[in-house]
Amino acid sequence: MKVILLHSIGGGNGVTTVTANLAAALQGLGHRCLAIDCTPDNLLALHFGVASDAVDGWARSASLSQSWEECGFEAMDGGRVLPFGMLDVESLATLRRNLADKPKHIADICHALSGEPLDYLLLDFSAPLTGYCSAQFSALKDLADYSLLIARADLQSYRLLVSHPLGQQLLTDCDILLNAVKTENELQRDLLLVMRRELEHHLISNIIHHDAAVPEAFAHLQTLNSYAPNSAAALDFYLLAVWCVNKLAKVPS
Amino acid sequence: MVDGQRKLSEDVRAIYRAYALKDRQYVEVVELHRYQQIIRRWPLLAELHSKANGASWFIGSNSNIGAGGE
Repeated sequence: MKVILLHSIGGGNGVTTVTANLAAALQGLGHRCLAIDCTPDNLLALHFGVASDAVDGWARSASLSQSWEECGFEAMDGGRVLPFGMLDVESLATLRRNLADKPKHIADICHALSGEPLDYLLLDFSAPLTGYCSAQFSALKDLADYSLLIARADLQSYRLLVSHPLGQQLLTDCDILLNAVKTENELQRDLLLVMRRELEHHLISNIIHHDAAVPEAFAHLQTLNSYAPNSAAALDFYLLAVWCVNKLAKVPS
Repeated sequence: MVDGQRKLSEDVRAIYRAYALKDRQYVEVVELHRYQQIIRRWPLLAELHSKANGASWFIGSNSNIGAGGE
């Protein structure tokens, strides 16, 4: 089982969307995948068709000092997701307290899953340094076979990646994927060239193009692979999945 | 190529001198020029870039920032 950690510096970069659609693309290639939502907004499961009023998840279980084993869902394509669960502010505070002396709680879940028939485990950790617990993220970064930072071809991402200490910290041992790139936009085209030049050791050649099919798939509680398999972004995710498979081929399971 | 040695025209040689890039391929010089044009084109990018690199060798002064660049 290979572990891929997907994260970003701040919110709004599409980490959850990339996680869901990369998992679906890997599943489409015949690899068995489980995606774990490590983010309190609890949106990942919606991509897999889980009802919006479903409350179960590993974090909710942890806040209630219960087991997470019964919280997983299976999508139509066979892909599986372990949601974060629905937590209010008070429950989130309880979760923080419960996990304070368990900095490897999510990593322990990953270890427990290593016996399952899985080829890839994808972790959606949208905003690790501003989120609920950076200690969990550190443990996951040590555990992951591959870390992919999701960013946009915009000046907000450029500033954080190039001239902000948070970006420098997160860039350690990880690659960058540019998401929702509008190549028809002059500024984004320019930034793509600048980032490729300045971040050449981190930026992978794959990009995910901006495509209206992406939010439409989410609106249908589906991944792109199910909703619009012939869309431009679906092809991007297919190519990203192939790239990840090749990248991790030499990593021992 | 003349007698097995690279002969550069004066204008290309001038570009190479301007960029201090004796060993670079012509296409690299073009890419570098385009890169510098982009940096100048967007004021915030120019500011962030110069701060990140701690150098202002391609941004002449603040008065150049946002002046169109090209």
